[in-house]
Amino acid sequence: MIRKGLFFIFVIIFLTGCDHYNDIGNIAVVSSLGITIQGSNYKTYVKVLSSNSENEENIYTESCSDLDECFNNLNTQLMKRLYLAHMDLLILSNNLTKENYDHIFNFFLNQQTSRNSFSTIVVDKIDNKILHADSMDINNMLSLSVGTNALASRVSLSDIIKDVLNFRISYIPYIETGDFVTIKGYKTVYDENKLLNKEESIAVNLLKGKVKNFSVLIDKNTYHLEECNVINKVDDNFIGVDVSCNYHGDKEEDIPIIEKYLEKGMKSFIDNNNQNYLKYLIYKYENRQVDVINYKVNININYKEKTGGDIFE
Amino acid sequence: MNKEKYTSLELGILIFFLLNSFTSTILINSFKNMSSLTITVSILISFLIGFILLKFFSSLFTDCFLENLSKSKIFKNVIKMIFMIGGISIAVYSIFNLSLVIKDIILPNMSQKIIELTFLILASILALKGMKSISIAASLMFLVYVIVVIINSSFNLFNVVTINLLPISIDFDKINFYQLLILSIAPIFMLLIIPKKEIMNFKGFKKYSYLFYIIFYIYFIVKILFIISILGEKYFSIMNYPYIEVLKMINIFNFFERLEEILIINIFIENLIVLAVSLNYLSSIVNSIYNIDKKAYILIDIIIFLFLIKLDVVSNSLLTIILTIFVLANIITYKRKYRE
Amino acid sequence: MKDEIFKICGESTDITTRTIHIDNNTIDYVYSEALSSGEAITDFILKPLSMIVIDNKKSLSINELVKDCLTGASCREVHDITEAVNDIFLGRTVVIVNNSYILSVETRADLDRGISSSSIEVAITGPRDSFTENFNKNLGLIRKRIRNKDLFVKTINLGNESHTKIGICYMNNIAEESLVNKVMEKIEQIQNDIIIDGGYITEELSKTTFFPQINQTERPDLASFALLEGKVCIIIDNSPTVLIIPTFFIDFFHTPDDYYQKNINTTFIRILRFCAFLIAIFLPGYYISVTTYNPTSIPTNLLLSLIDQHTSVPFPAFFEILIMIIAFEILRESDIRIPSKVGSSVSILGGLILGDAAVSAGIISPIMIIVVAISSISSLVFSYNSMVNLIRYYRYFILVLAILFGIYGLFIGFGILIINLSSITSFGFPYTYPFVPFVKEDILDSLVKVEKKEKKRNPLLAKKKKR
Repeated sequence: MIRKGLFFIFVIIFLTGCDHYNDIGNIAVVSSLGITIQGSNYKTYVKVLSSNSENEENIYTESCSDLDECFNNLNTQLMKRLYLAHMDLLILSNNLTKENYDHIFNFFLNQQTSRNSFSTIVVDKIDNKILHADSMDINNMLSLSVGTNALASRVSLSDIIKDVLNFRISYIPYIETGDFVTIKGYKTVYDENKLLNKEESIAVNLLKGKVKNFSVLIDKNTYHLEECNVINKVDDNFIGVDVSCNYHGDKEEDIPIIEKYLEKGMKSFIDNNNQNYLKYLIYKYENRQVDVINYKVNININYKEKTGGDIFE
Repeated sequence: MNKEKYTSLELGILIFFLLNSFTSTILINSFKNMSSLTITVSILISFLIGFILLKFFSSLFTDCFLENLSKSKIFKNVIKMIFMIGGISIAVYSIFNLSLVIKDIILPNMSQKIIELTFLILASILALKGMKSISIAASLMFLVYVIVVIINSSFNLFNVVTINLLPISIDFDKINFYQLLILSIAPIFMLLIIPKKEIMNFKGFKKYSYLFYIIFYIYFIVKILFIISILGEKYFSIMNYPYIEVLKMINIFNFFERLEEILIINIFIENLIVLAVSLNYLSSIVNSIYNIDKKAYILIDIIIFLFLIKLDVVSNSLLTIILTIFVLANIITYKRKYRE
Repeated sequence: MKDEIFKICGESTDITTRTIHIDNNTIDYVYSEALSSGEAITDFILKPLSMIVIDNKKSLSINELVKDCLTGASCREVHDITEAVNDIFLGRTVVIVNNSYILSVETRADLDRGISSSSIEVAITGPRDSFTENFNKNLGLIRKRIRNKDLFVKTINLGNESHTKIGICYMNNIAEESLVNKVMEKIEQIQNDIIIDGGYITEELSKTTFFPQINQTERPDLASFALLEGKVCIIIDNSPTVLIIPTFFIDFFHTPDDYYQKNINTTFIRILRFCAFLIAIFLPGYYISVTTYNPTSIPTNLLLSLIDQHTSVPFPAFFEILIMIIAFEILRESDIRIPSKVGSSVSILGGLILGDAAVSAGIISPIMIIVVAISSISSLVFSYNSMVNLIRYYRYFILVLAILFGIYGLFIGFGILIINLSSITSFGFPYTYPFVPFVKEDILDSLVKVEKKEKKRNPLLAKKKKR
């Protein structure tokens, strides 16, 4: 009696488990996804990888009023399931509003196969050049820029969502596609919509603690800085930003030039932009909400002798 | 079947798993929207209360727990029915827990009932072998559990941002220790059906139970603070499974990424053990009600499966009617059938 | 009386008899030409008998004279005909004096192949001798390694028709009496007609599961190690394997030449064997779950090449892998049975079929061959046939589960493996011995090997005093 019941249950399992058999040939591996707004419709671009190097990577587009609908239409257009787990890059256009960002975040958080660790960039216009560029190359470029010119860093979608939830502003790398694909700096999104220039982008990277070694270009000279540390001190009346770096170079007299440059960048970032990040820091350290921020920037560069020889000596 | 005595280390590990049964999904979700200091305070409060309950637990051990409950027969059966309700609720909780996780993360296209049924069959096979086999299986799975915990913690260390744990403030309104207390301590009381004479070293067992209790609370506090420090309070609050989000961030040499589907074996192990213990517990109670020595596991299976079918409105009502009649007929004729 | 014996044996041609007359006494002797050696008969029976001198001064009867002069080893009296007939079929010669007094002398012929090296359990270092089909030789190979009076041997005759001699060896000062008595009880309950090999006994004693609870070995050094741990060895006449009772799961990961090398080498190799065990069981299932349900955990480039290979094959993945595994099993079985002279061409053919030809014909994808080959080769790391069979069944079972449920099927398979391990006892001792009843001294010798100062006695099995 018991054995017959068990046998019956096992047979049921075997019969119904065969319905959802998927073959690996039915999935389309998505490498990068691009989203823009055209009027009131979303337009999505999808780059699908294929293993044959003879075929170009295929780019498909759809235009709908809702992102889920776009996704389903892309599935029917490709006749395969789009598979987002191996996605490397999300390309957003410049003209997205706050609501659009809400929709995008909800879309990716509710997708079962997506894992929000791909990097995100903002471009002026989504065209073939940026879509055909290899997503791994762009990721490498972003992660290398931390060590070279400190203009941007690799920002994933989950980082953006966390920033938006915490202080309603997020900084996404802005990339320009002209003759070459270059990084221009950061762009603030969500509550504010603004492009940051070079000095401000370096200031953002320093504040968030993402750079350790980088080089600055001031008046056709590059200065190499190492072991940068930023300490945020929060007192009753003001927040103090202390930046300390080591400068490996020729002359000790170059140091004030660098200090002035960095200070200018930091001050223009804090004065001319939304100060939500600093307010967030004050809330974290002191547990109080403030409206107006008094700040004090202090930049301290130490001189260390250059290793290696010099042809001019 | 093993007929040796239980060593105290095995029972300690079993206690650890029973405490740990719902922590990866339900209990972590109960601490949302609270600051980190509130969380530590509530966990400490439940630690202290639970410690007292644990002392009470180890004093309740006797050779024959279910017979010595009370002298009057009716009162004894009433208490056993209450215990059965508790056992069934723990079992149903654990089945739901695991099948939701598996359906969301691993097998989205399969119907949930099939996942529940296979899990139930697996746990009932383990429950049929006896409590001793469950404790040995728990000790063997403990090694796999520890390996996954080590992988998770060591490769996510660089994602920790300590600023996420600030600000240091308590909201006394939001202190919530009930869920943690009840869901972690209640499964332990299912171990009372083990006769005291079969435990090799009862004093050692007491020591190990306190030790693993402390280890569990340390592990839980560190785990939840680890998750909050990686994700931040607000992101943690909007997620369904924050623990699995942290597993998704493991990235070894940029080559071994996306390992969360394999590392979900932790959640599988936790729920399997608590379900096996509860099925064993339920079948012992049913056996003691009818004074029979056989294992009544298939009866419990059907009861639980019924319970699960009834919550789905669209399902086949004819099937549920047939199964209820079947189960009722079994219950009525159970004593007569197995008396010989 | 010798005619009676001749009739009882059905007048078989190998039963020969001869009669000698000394004075007025008739001395007959009966023997089986197939089982007894003629040289022993001439040396130990004919020559002494021919030198009997009846001296009337010493009042000895002819019976006592014959008994004194028979110089062979183990000469004893026999009281009835059935015992005499049994002795003839043990290789002894029956000497009948005056149709009344019966003696039997040991004159067995050597009917086995001599001590050679083992072809199945091969080791790089260490002794090369292996057991043969002769009971006494096997016992001698063990006794010359353990020259100790405490090595006791008890014999039983099993088999209703064959009366095979079974010897149970144990160290009296180490092994527990309860284990020995239990083993003897269980063996005496076996009711078979014939016992040819140890396999019959293992099946009777451990009926329930796939997991082997009794080990069979051809190497005397392994048997001696087992005896010193407190285990019981069973020697079977006409069988070149010796059974070791009880066996734990971890014993299948040990080989005797682990003890002849440095600790660090053995640690590495044991961990390698454990990884081979896991790979052999889980790899085909993992591959199927990755290609059908959950392709997340593999890198992007590998996924693309899997898709590419898969589109060119006409079969779905589960059918392909079932074909490949069955083909490999057939190849392995035929490789065992085929005589060595024909073997080389067949193996080339098998390699061609399963290799290039199938791939270029577009029937199988190359990655499938790699997966099946790695899995099957990992299972051949173990020299114990029972372990290879176990791996085979679990591999199929987990494959089927993975086809139905993906990675969740792998979890279920893992759960069933652990459930089976935890519910088995090997003669009353827990099967997962050094890990679950956590014994620190033996953990250091289980998957890793750390220097130990004392002699190796199993704390669970050995008598308490002698630890």
